[in-house]
Amino acid sequence: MHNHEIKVEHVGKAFQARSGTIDALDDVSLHVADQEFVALIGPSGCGKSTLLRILAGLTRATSGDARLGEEVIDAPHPQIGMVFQGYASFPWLTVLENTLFGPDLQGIDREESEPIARDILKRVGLTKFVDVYPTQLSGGMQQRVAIARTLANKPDVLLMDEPFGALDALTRVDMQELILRLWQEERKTVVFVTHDIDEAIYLADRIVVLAPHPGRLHEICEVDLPRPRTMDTIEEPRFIELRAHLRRTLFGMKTPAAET
Amino acid sequence: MVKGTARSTDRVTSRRSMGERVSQCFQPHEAIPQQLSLALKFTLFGILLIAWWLATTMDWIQPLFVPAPGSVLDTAVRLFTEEQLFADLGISVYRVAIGFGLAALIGTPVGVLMGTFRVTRSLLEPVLAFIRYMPATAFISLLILWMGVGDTQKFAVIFIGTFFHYTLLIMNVTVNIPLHYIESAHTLGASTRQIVTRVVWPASKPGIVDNLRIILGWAWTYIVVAEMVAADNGIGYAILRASRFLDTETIFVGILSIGLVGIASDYAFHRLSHWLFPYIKRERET
Repeated sequence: MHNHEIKVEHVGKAFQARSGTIDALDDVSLHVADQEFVALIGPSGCGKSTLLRILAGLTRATSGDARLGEEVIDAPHPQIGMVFQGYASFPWLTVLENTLFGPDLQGIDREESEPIARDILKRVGLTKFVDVYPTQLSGGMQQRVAIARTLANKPDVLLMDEPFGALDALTRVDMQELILRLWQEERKTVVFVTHDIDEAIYLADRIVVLAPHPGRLHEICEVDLPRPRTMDTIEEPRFIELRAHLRRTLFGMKTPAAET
Repeated sequence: MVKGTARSTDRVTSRRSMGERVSQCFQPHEAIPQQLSLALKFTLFGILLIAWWLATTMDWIQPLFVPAPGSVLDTAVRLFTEEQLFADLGISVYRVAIGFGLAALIGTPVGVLMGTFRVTRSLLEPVLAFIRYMPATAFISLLILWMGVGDTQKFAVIFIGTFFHYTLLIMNVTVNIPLHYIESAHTLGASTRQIVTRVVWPASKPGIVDNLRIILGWAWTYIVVAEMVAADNGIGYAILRASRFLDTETIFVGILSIGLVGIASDYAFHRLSHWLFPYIKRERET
């Protein structure tokens, strides 16, 4: 079965805090088509990371549900991979061992999994660092390890939670190109959380804008820029138009959208 | 590192670079030249030794209270070769090894489980925290009543003195593992059991070795006290017996030899940690 569509149906999420209940998400519905690249964007407090964690099965929705195909996501799912914001690669394992972590858990023979892992490491540009520990690598390289580790599990859906938030501008561009290339090579359904408008336009097919307090769907913006996109895409009139529109949308929200 | 060329420059600049070098050595956490680090490590030892030697040869202090370094050294040679201080030290090492070994063997898995699962933590933490405040020395008389004055009682004193603190420290190490590690393992398909064995355990190991090293020092305090209260051998007993004869030299030798064993074990743990955890960045170490 190849239905890697994500359906978010009336999802609400409330947290219990000392001051009372906080509504992180309120009645969010969203469909992400198979092989589609969707970016989630919004000011802090809009629940974009919470929504992603629900899709990853790390948190449960208080109301409504999220599904992969017809299957309700209520725990981490083998077909859903996630790349975290920080450097979550394991420091005690080498780059190759990190990449083999998922296949090892499933008891896949190294003879089978290692060539695949090495191939993935080649594709993310880590061939030279296969036997190095992540702590010896730069931030961008460490995030490549995290991506390789997630891809080695062959997920059909890739969730990314501000994966390049901690990187400098130049490395960030490198990583965005890497993600686009990987996605072009091997189409997956991607949900990408970011607070960077340019990043969202450059990468996504559709941009989902969330509004804060409570986190709710504000707008869905089609990115009708042709692919493959290159660095020149950023200078196209349509790109600039979309950027201006999204800026107005985000800054127009009542809370100070300091992050963007 | 200071470049070798600084030496050949003229006086003015070399003086300035000297000042720069000094200020460079007081940058927080900044690395200092290796020779300097080595020299510093021995400097205070040297100063203390000279002060000790001066105080005794100048007769500022009576040998009954502080014997001369030379006579302490002579006594050490005699005690270790002709008499049985070596055996006494060996017995104490053995007692520490068993008593603390047992505490570590039980405390490590218990601490890791407490740090991982709320259930184990809620069950055990109050009791451990309560007993932790009872000084192990207060248990000595009770333990003699229960177990006599043999090795078992010594193991028990060390165990009580170290187990509760150690376990809580290990719990802390485990609690502080970045949540990212656990969550990413989860999304990669790890079961709870795999998270414990493949993430929590390896992530905790460096902290465990660190705490073993620190708590081992406590074990030495407890064994000496226990041997002074009731024993017929061991380094604590040797010190106690010497004090009855006002044999200050032997007391000094006893105390100093424990210090040497401590330094040796510290160094061993240091090497062990380098060998086990080659991935840890050690920029802050000298």
